[in-house]
Amino acid sequence: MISFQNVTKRYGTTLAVDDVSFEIPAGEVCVLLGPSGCGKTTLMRMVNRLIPKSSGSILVEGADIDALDPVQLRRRIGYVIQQIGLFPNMTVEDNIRVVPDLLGWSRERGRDRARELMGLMALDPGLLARYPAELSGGQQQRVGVARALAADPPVLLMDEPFGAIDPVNRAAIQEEFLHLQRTLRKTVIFVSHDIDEALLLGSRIAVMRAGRLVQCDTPDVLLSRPADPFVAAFIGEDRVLRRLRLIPVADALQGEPGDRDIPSLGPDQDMASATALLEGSGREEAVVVGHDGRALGLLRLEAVPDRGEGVVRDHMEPLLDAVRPDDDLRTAASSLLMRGTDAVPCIDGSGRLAGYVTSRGIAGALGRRPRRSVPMAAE
Amino acid sequence: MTVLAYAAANIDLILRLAGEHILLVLVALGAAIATGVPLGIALSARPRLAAGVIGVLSVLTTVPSIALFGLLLPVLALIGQGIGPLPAIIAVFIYAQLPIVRNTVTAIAGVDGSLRDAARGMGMTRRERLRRVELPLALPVILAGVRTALVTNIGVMTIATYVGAGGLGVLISRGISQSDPRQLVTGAVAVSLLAVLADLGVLALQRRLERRAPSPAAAAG
Repeated sequence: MISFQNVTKRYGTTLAVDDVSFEIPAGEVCVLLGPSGCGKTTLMRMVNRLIPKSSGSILVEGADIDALDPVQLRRRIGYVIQQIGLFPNMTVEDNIRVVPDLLGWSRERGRDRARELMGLMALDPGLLARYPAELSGGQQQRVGVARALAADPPVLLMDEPFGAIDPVNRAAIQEEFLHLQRTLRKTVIFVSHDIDEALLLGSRIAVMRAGRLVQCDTPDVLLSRPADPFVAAFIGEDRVLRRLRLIPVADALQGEPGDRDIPSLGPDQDMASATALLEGSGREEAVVVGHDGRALGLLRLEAVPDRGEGVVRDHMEPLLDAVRPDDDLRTAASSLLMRGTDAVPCIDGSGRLAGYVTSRGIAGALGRRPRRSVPMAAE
Repeated sequence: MTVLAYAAANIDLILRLAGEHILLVLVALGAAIATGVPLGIALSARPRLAAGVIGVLSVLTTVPSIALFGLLLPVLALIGQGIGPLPAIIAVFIYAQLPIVRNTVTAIAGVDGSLRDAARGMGMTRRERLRRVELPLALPVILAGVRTALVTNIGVMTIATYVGAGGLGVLISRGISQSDPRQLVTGAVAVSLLAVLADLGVLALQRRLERRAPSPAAAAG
């Protein structure tokens, strides 16, 4: 846990950080977000005492940082910077082992840890003997993250770590970081000026402006209830679309099997009753569900020319573009638009029909109270 | 031909004088490295003071060695060392300061600020930062300064003969006073050879260090 209490940084008469108080619970990623010069990097660098505070106090894991020796404090806090800062005179392995060596780990332990981290960061262990200059930018920053994690610190400080990486690599490394964080559960302060990155990685987002903390909330609350016009403008006019990414399909499902609004059909049902049922409900299509509840296919009225011959099984089509309950609503919305229908079927992991996503269902999910829980804890 | 015949006949003398010469230069340079590198490190964080000190060292370098001997003579005479190896070593020690201090300051101050930031942020002390990051990265440039000091001062050390410190300058001064071009040329060629060999030796060391730790610029090029 990291706790800021009335933290202020003054340079002469200007206030770089102005009376900031908030807490980051253990295991959460807090993104400090704001335009350049808002004080977010200064606030982060006060945590490991690279910048001295003017007043206030900061607690890391319950301990006041002023009571600790700065060097000892820093060895317990992982540090990743945008310029990566790998030491060019050391091999990748020696770079990763910097903090373990400073802490006096044995050679074997340090070496094993370096190998383990290469695996964790999806890097070829053969790179351990190389020098940083021989690696690509993306590989270098993966090593940078591995180096910060080497001594398994409970807290990580990351200063725009993926800002200098090309967009394709950045997306990949962001996904890897998310994946890693789900198992490692570090307490992370992540400085960014990129709203999309903040929404993707942050379990909470602290928006700063001119040294002040304007709002600190979960991504969902931030998007649905921005604290003031500045936050609203910073996160963008399209914040409803951004919110779609944060809500899983499961929260917007309608029409489980048997629901009269959105019917499902049996494979042995005769076509006459099936078409009647569909026309009666004003639908153009329905999922065909077997006795065990598994989805077998899709019946589209449009695809049945003379509407009446035989049973449903003879006319159904394979179910190609269904969504899954853990997809986000953005995927469902785009599927809805692509299909040009009013509902997208949702099939769960065991192949059963879980329900349908409709535009009404999406609107309902967006209208519900924003989620204050940590999205990553849902995994 | 007469020069070669002279050199062949006096090879023992030449080797003995060359040995003295090398010893004098190494002692002076060793002392200069032992003081110049720490001084440069201390100055690297204080750019204004560094500029002042380098200015003073530049002025000192322009004092001719003969004049320096004259200045040192009364001082060193107090401890009975007015003539002999000590004034020669002190002169070369002073001349070697400028390239060594200047290159050390430039090299340490030139280490990428983000590397220093990363090193501090990971919990390295000032000393650990120097030993693990700044000095290894600065070493090729510091070594270039040592190389300059070594090559120029092998030449300067020929003057040691005038304070009775020996070295290859003995052949040159004798050649002049005895109007014997064989000794003069032998001494001059021996000094040049020594300087070229020393230059190549340190250059090889410098190259090896650079290869072991490729700088980003070297790898990109």
